[in-house]
Amino acid sequence: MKKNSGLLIAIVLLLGACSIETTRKVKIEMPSVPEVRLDRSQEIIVTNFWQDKEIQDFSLNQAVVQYFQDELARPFKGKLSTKTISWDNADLAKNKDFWKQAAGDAKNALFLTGKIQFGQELRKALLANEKRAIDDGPFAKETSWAERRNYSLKLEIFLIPADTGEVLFQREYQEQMNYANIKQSAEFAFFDLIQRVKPKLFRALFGTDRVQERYLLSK
Amino acid sequence: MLKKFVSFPLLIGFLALFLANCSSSSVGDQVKNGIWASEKNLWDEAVFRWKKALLADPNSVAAHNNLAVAYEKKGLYDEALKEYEAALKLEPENSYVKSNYQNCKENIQPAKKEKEDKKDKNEKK
Repeated sequence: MKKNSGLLIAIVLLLGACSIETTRKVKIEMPSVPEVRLDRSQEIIVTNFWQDKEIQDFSLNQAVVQYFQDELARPFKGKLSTKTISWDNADLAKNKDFWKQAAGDAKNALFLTGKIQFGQELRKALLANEKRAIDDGPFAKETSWAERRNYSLKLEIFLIPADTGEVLFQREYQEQMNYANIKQSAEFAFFDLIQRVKPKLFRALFGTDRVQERYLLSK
Repeated sequence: MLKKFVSFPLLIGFLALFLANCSSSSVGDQVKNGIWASEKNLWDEAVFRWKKALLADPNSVAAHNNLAVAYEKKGLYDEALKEYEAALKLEPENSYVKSNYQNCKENIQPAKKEKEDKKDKNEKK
């Protein structure tokens, strides 16, 4: 009996030894691969954008260049600089020679440029409000004018390598917002709108983390 | 006196457990330490441990595989593929490494495509 129990313990221990985990399934937040490999460029040169019309009391181009310079500084590990170019026409982005020339000595650089359109309008709508009016019955309707300040942003982004001058990445983003405050400033609205563009653009440029399963081996 | 408490089969059992669990050469230790570090999200430390394991034993499939996972985590896709391929060269039928390698390749499709497009453009030139 004693001998048997000893044998049993030995078998149990042997089984335990055999079943020691040699693989581990882990869930890891893996970075997905971005559409453009910015890590292969040493420098990003943010240029002024092509702008269809000037906006009163707000320097749109200055704001957009400053915005991208600030926002790119964290995820992009290379050098960031700005350059003012003269947009003779809206199709300048496709002019390879222009970008090669504009690059000068910066060969492993990428131009971030584009076209920007920013619009605003006052929208009015006739809204029906239910109002209790004694003379016209208990649920007579009353109409009133509602006003909203509408801002829209159309941003076309180009990434152009300095060495080839060819467009590497091109994407168009459109956003709009309505404000109940009809005195909302253009500057305030611009930052609201560009904040909506940023995650879409940065997902393409820097990728995002996705949870994936992998096996780690211990033997 | 000792015989009274420790029987021979029991001794064998303990020995087996010890061998399975503690046969950790320095390679095994490094691999396990790397896993521990990865669980704590210390991926640089994990890379260091698995590289050390590979220095001690360049044929460690576990070290190659785990290092590949760490490289993926750090966004170093080319290095990750190299390590998976090294692991598969040593153990071509290892289903875990095969699965990791497959998933890694699927994850990096856009980057590969971009590389191929660049290659095509250069060839056209």
